[in-house]
Amino acid sequence: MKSWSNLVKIILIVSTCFACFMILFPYKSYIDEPPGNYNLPPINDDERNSHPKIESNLYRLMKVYFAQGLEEATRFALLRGIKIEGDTVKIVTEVMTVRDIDKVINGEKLPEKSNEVQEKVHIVNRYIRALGGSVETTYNNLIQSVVPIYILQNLADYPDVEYLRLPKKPYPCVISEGVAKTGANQWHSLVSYRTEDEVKVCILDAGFAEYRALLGEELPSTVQTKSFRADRDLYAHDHGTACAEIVHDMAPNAKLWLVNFGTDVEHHNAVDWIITQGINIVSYSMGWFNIGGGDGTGPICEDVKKAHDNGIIWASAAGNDATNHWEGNFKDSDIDNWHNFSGNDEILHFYVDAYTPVDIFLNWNDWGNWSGNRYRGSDQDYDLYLYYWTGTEWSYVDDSRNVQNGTQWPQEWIGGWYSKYSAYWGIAVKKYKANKNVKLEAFILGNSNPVEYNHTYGSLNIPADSPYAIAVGATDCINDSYHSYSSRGPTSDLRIKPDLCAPSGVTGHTYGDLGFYGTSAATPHVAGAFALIKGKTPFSLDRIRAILEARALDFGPTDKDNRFGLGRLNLVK
Amino acid sequence: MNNMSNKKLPLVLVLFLHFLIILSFRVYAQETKRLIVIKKENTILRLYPREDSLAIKELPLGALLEVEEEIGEWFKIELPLDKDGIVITGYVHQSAVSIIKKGEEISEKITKEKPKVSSQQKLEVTDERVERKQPRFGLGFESGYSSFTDNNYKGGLKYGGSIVIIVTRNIAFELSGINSQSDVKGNPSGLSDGRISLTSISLSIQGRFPLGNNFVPYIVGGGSYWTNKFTLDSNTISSWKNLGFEIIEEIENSTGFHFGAGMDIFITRKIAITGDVRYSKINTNGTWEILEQVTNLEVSNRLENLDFSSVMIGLGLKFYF
Repeated sequence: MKSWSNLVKIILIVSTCFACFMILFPYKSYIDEPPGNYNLPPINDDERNSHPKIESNLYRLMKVYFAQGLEEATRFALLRGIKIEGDTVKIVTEVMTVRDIDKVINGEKLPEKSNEVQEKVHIVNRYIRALGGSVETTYNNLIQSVVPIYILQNLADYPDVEYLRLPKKPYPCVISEGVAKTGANQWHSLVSYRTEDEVKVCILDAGFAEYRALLGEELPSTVQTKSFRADRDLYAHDHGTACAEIVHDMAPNAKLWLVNFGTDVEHHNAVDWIITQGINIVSYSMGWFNIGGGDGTGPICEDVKKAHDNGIIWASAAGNDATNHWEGNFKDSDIDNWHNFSGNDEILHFYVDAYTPVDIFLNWNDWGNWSGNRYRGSDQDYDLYLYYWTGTEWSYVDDSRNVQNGTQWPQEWIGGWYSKYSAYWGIAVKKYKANKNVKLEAFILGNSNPVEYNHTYGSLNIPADSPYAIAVGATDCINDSYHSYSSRGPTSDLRIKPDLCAPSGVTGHTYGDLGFYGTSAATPHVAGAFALIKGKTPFSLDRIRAILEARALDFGPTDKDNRFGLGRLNLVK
Repeated sequence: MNNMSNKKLPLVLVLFLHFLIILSFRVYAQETKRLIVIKKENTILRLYPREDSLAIKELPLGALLEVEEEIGEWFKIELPLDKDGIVITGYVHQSAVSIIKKGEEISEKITKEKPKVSSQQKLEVTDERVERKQPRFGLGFESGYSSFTDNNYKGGLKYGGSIVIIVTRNIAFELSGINSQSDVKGNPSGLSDGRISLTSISLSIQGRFPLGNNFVPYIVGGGSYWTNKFTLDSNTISSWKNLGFEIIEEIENSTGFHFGAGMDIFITRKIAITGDVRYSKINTNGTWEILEQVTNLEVSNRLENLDFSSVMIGLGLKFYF
């Protein structure tokens, strides 16, 4: 008996130690071992939780709210990066722009600024207010508002409403050595020749936190500011401040306009205003996903075109997503409606550090013609799924199953999820209802290594794909090497991009000695170069572009290529 | 502007030749004056061509004189008073002289009465009749300062020379050439930093108003042809060249006019110190160009109505013949 009791004691001690060990040092063998190839279990499409007039995540939020209450709805929203306040959510209402509401697909399109459409917008505004919502801002047929979650269905059912979605938002392309590297310092002491024109540069960005402390030193003594955010918060981010510092370093005599925005609707209003201010150059270190076909079309690219048509040079960050990007034609070799990334592998995995949120954007090449105001829309319905590798199996996390039945955009988005562990995550793509195999494209943000099946080329952010934007890639500020994250061309219509490269990893006040990396840092060098030459010579902006392109130092293949463009920015002969 | 210079220059030459021809006739006329010899003793040179006019001087018997002018029965003659060129002018009755014809023996004309010259005779000579003999040509050199009316031109030295042709006591023609230089303070609507060099050929008319023997104030006015040159500041050129840009600025030749006043102060019969002040009105055009050397893209434009007008002060010497 005594021996049995001793054995039991030993077992208990060992078990307790083992349990403590497991609690203190959880097993993480899957960190070092990437998951293998997997086929996915079938999905019950009857529970698709989607609505043709409501973006998938919004619709699901509403369903959770009704089924489980505000607390669960709040948790649902937070996990997906959807911003809610109390029981309200910020949305964008796309007002119908067709004359015959029964013919949404082929109905006669109305100009968005026409009296008829504006009358509809006015009516829908009133309807939103009547439902308890508040309108923040509008642009053409777009209404950005904050509405109670429970009215989403009522609003969607209104005949003049075409679609409800979450606001699109940009992503800062983050990751004054550049002044000397580009030769800009040799221009600074030069007396201007035959020009006394004031050069105006607008930094259009997410925010300008702590810019006031830099006035007179890292920034000009006075700047013009305006916030197009609904909350008028100019200080929402420090990214714009860092960009402004670089522009000022490059072109100390340029006048700076600091303008910020938060959503696509606010962006349109911001650009319209910028045009009225006589701005010469826009420095744009932001990138968008799922808001265009990657061929220079779409609402954001349309803003760039509008600026260009008004004589504005638009320097746009190429993006930092060369290693976050995948694209390929939909393949279903095992005929189970799941895309096969390679062989039978239906999951594309990627590694995410602990507490790092993931954002996954999926789109496919069925946008339809861009009329200048809208896309025709897609009737090829594909869905996106997110999984988490537990170490032994893929565990379903979330999905995005927007309806595409003719007018909706061909895109899905899942975002906001994170884990307290560093782990592998994975995405899968399912064909819900399509009669052709499309070319898929995915951007995965939050990964710490290149994604599986990484396709570096074609990884441009919008609007770097615009033919009216000068897309800027990133090179090292010390040795001019190409930064591997810098997004590459070509565009989806096979134009070579970026146009130029510029130094990145520069030090400054905002980001200190750690350095300001990314095409975000490269882009203001180009904008500053334009401003510097414009302020010193009588050359027009178009000719300055030709001069900079001719002087660029080409470290890549001869002539323009999809990594360096025409070469690294250089202001001296 | 080169075509304009080609047209203007012959005109200037023609005008100059015209005056030379006129001058030649006057010289010829002077060389064919009549000669007379005093044939009577106690012949008096009188102030006016009248018997009761003031006696200036007794002319010695046998004196050979040139007739300046004939007025009735009287001959006007000039006699040198001293070695410095001062002359006296008077009249002698034709009855006291014999006209010398070419090749004729002078001695036959003289009467047998011995001359009687009185050195004690006092002569009253009015200032009116004692005057300097008018020189005919002047050659001058001068230097001075040009002050530009446009503040962008800082002013500078000028130097030049002139030829003065005195037509009458009160009128003279002047052919002059000057060079004037100035630093330029650059401005966006005009020239950039640099230096201008303006060279002119001018034809002027002087209105001369002699005051006594030594002072001849005059007013002057005329027209000019300017050859203008601009040199960009070398630092500007090199600064832009280092960045791969070439800057070119040029100014055109032009015409202008001037007017002013001056004074010849004769320190001897033939040498005068001269000083004058003139306002020159000069306007011209130009061009500027900036060329980018990699792409060969260039921007250029004209510079209109560059104002090089200036007030010039000059001091110099003139040699009269």
